[in-house]
Amino acid sequence: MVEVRLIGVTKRFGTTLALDEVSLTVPDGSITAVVGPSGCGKTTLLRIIAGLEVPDSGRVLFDGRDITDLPPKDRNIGMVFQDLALFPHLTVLDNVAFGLIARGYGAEEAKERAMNLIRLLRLEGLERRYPHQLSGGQQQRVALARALAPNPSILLLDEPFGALDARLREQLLWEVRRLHDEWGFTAIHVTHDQAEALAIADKLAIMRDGRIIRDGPSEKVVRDPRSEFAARFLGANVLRLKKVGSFKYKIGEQVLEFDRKEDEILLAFYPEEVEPSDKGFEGEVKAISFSRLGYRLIVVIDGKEVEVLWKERPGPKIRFKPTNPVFIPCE
Amino acid sequence: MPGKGSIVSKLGIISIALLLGLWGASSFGLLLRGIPSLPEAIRDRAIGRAFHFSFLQAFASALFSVVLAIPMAYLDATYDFRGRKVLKVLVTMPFTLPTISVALSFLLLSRKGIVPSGWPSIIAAHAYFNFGMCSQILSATLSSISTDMEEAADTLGASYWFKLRAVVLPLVLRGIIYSFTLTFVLCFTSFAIPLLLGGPRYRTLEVEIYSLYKVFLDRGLASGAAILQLGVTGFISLIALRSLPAARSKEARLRKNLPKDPIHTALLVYYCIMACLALYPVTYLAYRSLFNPLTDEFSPRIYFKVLSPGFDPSLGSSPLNSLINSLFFATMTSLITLVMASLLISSVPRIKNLGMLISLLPLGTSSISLALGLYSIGSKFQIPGWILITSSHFLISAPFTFRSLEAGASAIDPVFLEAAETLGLDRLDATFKVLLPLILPSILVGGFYAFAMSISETSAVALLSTPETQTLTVAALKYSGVRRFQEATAISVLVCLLTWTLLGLQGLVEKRMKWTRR
Repeated sequence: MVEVRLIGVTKRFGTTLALDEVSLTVPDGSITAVVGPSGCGKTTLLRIIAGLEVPDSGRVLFDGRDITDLPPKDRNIGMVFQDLALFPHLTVLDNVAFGLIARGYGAEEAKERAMNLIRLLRLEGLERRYPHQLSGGQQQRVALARALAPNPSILLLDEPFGALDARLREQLLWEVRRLHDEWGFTAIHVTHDQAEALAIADKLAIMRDGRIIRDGPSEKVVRDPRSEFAARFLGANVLRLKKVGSFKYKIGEQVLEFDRKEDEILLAFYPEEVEPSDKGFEGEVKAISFSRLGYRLIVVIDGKEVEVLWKERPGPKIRFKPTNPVFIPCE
Repeated sequence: MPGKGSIVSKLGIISIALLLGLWGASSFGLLLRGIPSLPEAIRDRAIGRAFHFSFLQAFASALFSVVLAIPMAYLDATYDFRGRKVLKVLVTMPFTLPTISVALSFLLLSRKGIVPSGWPSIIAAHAYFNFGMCSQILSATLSSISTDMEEAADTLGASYWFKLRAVVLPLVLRGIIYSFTLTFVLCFTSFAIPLLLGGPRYRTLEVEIYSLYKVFLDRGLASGAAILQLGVTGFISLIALRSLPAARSKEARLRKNLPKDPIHTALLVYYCIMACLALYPVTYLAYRSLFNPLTDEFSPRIYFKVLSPGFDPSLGSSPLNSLINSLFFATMTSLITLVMASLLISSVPRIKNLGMLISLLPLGTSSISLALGLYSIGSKFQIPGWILITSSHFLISAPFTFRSLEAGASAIDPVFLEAAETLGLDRLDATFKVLLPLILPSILVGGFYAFAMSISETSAVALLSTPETQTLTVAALKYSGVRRFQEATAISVLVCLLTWTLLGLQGLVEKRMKWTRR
């Protein structure tokens, strides 16, 4: 197990600033998810941790040891790439054994260890096949087995499950979680999908424009995103309300009561955390779709669209209040 | 693409019939005359010597070309640096030259003592002609290896050499084998270069076949020798086709900035030197066409002279007539290629794939052997020479032109046609209003390519032409033979200019059709 620390890491590609003074601590033995929209710098961050990119400034520490200039092969990491990068000319067994042979294991021992991983990831019977003879899910398992075979201290996942259907993705996320709990490696998972991140991570780091705007334990970040961007990225609705009296706030023509003192508040709430209330927001139902969890509604409040999850089929208008409102400082 | 049941979808059978008919006729003609003479050809000492020399020089030339190409391919596929595209164009340029121009420039350079004469000049000229092509093949193979693959090896703890041995080399091996075998076949069947540079001592099998046919008029023995040659080229072409690297639609490799260390600087210097060397022979050719050593005069007068209607027809027909013939054969070749390739690519996949496979058959046969086979059949049935020359050019260019046409057409998504139909067009309307405009650039590319290949073709036309059907390349060959180098170089430069114009037009159309790529 290794603790990963980034201190003031900056990286430019030409005139593009990919990472801007990024500092982050990944606790040893944790699964940390780095999330953010495309182009926010999360893959660059992962590649710097892997040693595939060298930062322009800043340092990378593994357990307090500065490894900023250490080549990837000496970092004892395992990485699962976005396009998997399975070696097309090698069988499943040879792919999985590759890292072991590269690190000096004898061919027999390497293959024996690789077979253990193949069994662990339920790939038995496929070891003689080539990558192009496998399904998408099987390829992902091989990539995972290959990365884990040399028993790395850190596992880096660069959005490897993006191309899979939801069910398969969920299975593989559980697989990673199970292996992590058994082996105890530190894992860093980069994804643009907040649901995927929440399903697996102990800790979340939200990135925007090359900066980490919020990080911490997953539950804490979800409960307290601290910025409108982070709240929206995590799937929350955000409404801006203005103070019109003591504890009274207004949006459009509606006045609601909140136990706050600020002149203006940003109220965030998740779609599933609402309940019917005569004293709550009134909104016009614009669209309805059905899911197993209930009706997903797009509701318009003072021209702003919000999403809510409703237990019963609604009428043209609904009144509701957030059950767990989060207040975000106004920027 | 047209519907499965329509007649248009089956017209590709006509292309298959023509390709098979012509190739079959040529092979049949060759076998008909050659098989009775095969034992004699095997025993013949001159043919044995030519076979031995052909093999050795082809092996050395291919090895030399690939070795020269590897550093350039590595730089080109891995790094981005200023002037990369220019260097790439320059080193690829020799492969676009007509072989007669390469042969003539090396002959002149060896007469000046710049290039050693004899067999080294043959190998040097072959390497000069092929190294850019090898570099292109290797660079494309290397480019298709995802950067992730190497980075994955890095993260798995692989050292530089382990990565090279276990990941990079196995993945580029197909490209190396392909470029080596392709160059081997091209050099084994090369004609103009050994004819001009080898003299009587260093004769290749192709030159021997030509001499047996044209000088000694022993068509049986020539056909026997051609069958021997066919055995080797067929076998090596098969290896080449089996090692053909899988075509990938896009580059998977991300280019990095060129490191400023001594090794990479040395590689870049090497690339620049090779680019300059690529320019040198052709520049010398142009210079030599403008310079008259007898009068010490430097003027473009020779071009006006050789193109004047009454200019010296003593070596067959006048250069102007040769130009007209060249243009005629090239036009005919392009038209036939376009019609046949269009019919094939509009056909159902089964017919199309079969036709594409058949279009590759001439790859395994040398131009001289193809021409010899066609001549054998032609003389039996009194077929006019111009038909034989056009047929030989059609067959020689088919493996390349059909493929280039198909590549462009297959990049067009059939969903466009379906979209047009859902928007209210019937199938015929959709074909004309949607498919044809999309496919037109590919057709033009194929046409320009066929035209350029026909204009610069030397071997088949040297064997099949009579004074009335002589082309520019044959005229250049004849003027070289009688040591009238200013005329030869001027004609050779004209062929180069014509070829480059066509290839330039092809490049322009290709650039414009990039939007059709999926």
